[in-house]
Amino acid sequence: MELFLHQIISGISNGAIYACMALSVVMIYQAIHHLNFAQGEMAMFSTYIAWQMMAWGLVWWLAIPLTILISLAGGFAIERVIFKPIENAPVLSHIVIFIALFAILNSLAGFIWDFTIKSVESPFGKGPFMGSPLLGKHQAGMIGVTIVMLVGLWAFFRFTRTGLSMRAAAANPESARLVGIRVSRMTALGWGMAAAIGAVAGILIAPVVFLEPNMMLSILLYGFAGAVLGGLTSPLGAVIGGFLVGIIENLAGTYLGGVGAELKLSIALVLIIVVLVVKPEGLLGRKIVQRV
Amino acid sequence: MSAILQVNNLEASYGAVRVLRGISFEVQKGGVTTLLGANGAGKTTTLRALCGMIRRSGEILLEGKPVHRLATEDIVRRGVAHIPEGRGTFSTLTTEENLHLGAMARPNTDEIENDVRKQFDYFPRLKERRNQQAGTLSGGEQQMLAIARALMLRPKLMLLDEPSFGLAPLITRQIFDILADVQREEGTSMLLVEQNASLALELADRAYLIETGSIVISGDAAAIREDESVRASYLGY
Repeated sequence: MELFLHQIISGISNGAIYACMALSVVMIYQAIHHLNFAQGEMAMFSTYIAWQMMAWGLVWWLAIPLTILISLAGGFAIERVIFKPIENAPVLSHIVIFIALFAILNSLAGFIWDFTIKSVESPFGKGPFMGSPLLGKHQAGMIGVTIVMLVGLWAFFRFTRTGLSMRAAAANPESARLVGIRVSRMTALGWGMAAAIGAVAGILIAPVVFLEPNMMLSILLYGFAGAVLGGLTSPLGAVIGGFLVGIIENLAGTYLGGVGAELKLSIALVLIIVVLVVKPEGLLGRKIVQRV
Repeated sequence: MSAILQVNNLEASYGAVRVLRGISFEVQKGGVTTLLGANGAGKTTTLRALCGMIRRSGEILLEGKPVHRLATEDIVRRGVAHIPEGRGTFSTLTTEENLHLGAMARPNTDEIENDVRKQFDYFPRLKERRNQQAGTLSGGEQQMLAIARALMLRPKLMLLDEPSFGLAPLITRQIFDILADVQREEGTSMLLVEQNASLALELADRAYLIETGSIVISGDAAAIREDESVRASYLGY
């Protein structure tokens, strides 16, 4: 029983990583109705920016907000410069660019900061959380930040005019234009916000997995799994999905004989397939009810 | 009376197919102009061209100022509310959110809440359904929502694309009565595209008949309504 509880809690703390990434995946899916394969590399690149600023001696509570702002602007710029000119191109063109972005960001990070592993300090400090043997301070901080981001996003979409405009632009771009919403600007803002959330995810993940250009490779997959499980249209679903993926992964690793560390990643993939086959809209995704 | 909208020699094509062959018409300030014609005559295309939703050439003057180079969003921001074919409902959002979206091109003030309340007075049905996902509303309710959403802009000019489409006669009647009220009380100018010629001619003061992309007849709505030969050969009633 103690082992079980332990696995659940450590699953939740891993899950916080996936939940953050899943939130970023949902954000971009809402804006462009695609999964951006370069999302993880964008997050990795943001994490390097934060690391670089701290290496230059900036304190973390300045470096992190600055990184988030830079990522917001960067995501916005990627949409404006690369995707706006090809907005009417077929899906395949977009996917090729996602992959190109992935490769470019990955090697650019390696070129600038080289491929050696760097350790990143947690802003939450080291040691157990409130004396608990099961939860570290960093893990607790990560869960807290994920929940704060979720509530923040929910409030943004629910209560602000910009949030409502973004939802409208995603749901029905033509009608959105007809009420005066600048749809392409909303798409760019979606890119920016996804990049900013990704930056937070990367910064939270780095102290756990160490910083290197390939750090996000498997995490993005887990993030996808979390987002698909929770429902690609629901930020709350994505967070719950992310936590569930963490828990499932841990329990399977412990209790299913054959599943060792090597097979853990396959669980994420199996989960994606099962959800897509059995319940494609995910746990909390919206089934669209419409009269015709 | 002066014209709120003047259109000169408007042309538009879908690919190689020319749909509008240089049409000219106007809408008087506070007046209702209707464009009549059969399916495929180019009525919907005219409205879409006015709003910059398709490529067009020709001259479009809104209150005397050229708008034919502006993007859709900017034309809307100048007070033109377009109720598109198919009603343009944001079906995953609630009724109330749909109304708020209608005011998105206006500055954010307390008056928006007042205007939402005003729409609920015009359309009590919408009030009952304010928190319901708009896609679940009936066809008539969605048409009411589309008109209410357009009114949230406090438009100078409303472009209406077949408000009667797919609705029962009684509901259509109700909607045209409300449009008449709006026109009388708010003084909103309207450009109305309709297949139901008799209803449209009742509301309108000017009418134009479009046939394969050109205007074939224009005149006072009352005169066209009375003209037996026009009725028989073009309007079919």
